[in-house]
Amino acid sequence: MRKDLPVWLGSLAGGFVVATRWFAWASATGLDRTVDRLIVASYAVAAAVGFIGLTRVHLRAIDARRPLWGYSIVLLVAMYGYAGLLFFQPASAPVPDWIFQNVMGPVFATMYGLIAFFITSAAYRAFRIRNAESAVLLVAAAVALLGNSALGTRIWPGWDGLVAWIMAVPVTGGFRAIQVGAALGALATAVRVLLGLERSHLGSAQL
Amino acid sequence: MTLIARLQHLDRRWLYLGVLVVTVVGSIWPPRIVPRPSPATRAAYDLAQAVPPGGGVFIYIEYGLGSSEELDPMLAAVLGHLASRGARIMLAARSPESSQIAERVMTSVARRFPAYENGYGQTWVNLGYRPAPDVALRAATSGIGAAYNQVDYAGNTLRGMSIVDDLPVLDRRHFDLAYAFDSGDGFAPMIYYVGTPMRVPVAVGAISMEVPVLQPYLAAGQLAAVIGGARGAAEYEALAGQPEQANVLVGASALAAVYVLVVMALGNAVAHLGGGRR
Repeated sequence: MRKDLPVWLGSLAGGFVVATRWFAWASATGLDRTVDRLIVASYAVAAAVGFIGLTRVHLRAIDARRPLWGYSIVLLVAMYGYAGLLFFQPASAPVPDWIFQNVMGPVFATMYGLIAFFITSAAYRAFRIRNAESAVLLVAAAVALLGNSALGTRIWPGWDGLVAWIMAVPVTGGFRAIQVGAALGALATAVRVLLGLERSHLGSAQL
Repeated sequence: MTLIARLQHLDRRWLYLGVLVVTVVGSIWPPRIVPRPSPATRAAYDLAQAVPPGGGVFIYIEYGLGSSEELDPMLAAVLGHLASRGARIMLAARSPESSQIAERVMTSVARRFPAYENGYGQTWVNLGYRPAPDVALRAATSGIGAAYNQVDYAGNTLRGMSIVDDLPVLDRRHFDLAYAFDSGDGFAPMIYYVGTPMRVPVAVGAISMEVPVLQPYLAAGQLAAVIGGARGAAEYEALAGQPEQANVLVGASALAAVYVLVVMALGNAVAHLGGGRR
């Protein structure tokens, strides 16, 4: 029972959702809208589970005085503080909006901006010509850098044409191959889940 | 210790200092670089230019604060252009933070156009975010009000707003153009639910890194246009005749690109002269 019930539930629920997307009767009877509402409800449940899980993990970290446990306090205060604030006023109200613009904004911009430092360090140490493949990589990186920064055209007027060809031919071909491969893989995995053949997402080691 | 040996063991903090200097100098004194518009950006501009006064444009914001520095100028340029055309703009978001970004950028653009500054609910509306955003987008193709529970971003009722009354369904009959501003895969539901089945032309404004991912969709005609990164935003600003933030950004990023190229060349020279040892 412990082994089969989750598999059957997954197959039935998945098959039901697929059926409501593929067959016109689902739309005619309004069944697809019911499924949509259930999906929205599942988001709320997932958020609640995440909230509880995060709280438990960090309360344990504080209780056991694990390394950096102080950050767990910061996280819990920020999470419950902001959530509590939004119980009493909408996100568009002045205080939540101020926090968003003046705390979250700079924090995220800083995190994103750090990439520039790591890229520079990597450019110095990793982008070295050791063989033909690394030479191609280096040339591609230089073309992309000059193309994206609009400097290439200043150096050579034909630069934009070169970048356009790279984007239209090798890049489009490469990404098409990747996307078709990924889609086929996703489809195969979905079919395996629906048929109960794929169980790793249920923690199959215990099942 | 020779110079080459020192450079071989260069402390990475010197490289970081260089990044800091280049970005600060580039931001304060940005070099004037106005890029020549690419065909993809020109296509995006032409699509917006073809929207008649009062025409509907649906704008879906997917990106978060991490991509704000790169995409906010692009969003502002497109919104400014659409507002100058008198388009009616409906904004929706894929996450709570994106809905706040939409509000911030549109509010700042609206200040330049009286019809938008005082025309909320008539010339523009921010629908905000709903859980399971892809479901909301799909539902909007049957009825926008119902898809967003009849309330906007700030909790005001959508009932009685003329923009929602006049543009009740996300389809080709009511909307001339749909845009996704994207740093991930938010453009995909726009193709699945809006572009292909509803025949609404879909354009994407994306971060530079995402542009290669969009190429197959552009080549297949599923996307009508793509604006890529800070450069694309600067191109759009140039086309719209309103050079602003993106032009500063592209100038600063050009300096940073030169710095990274110099660092790459230096790294290779040091490795070569030092006998390939690190």
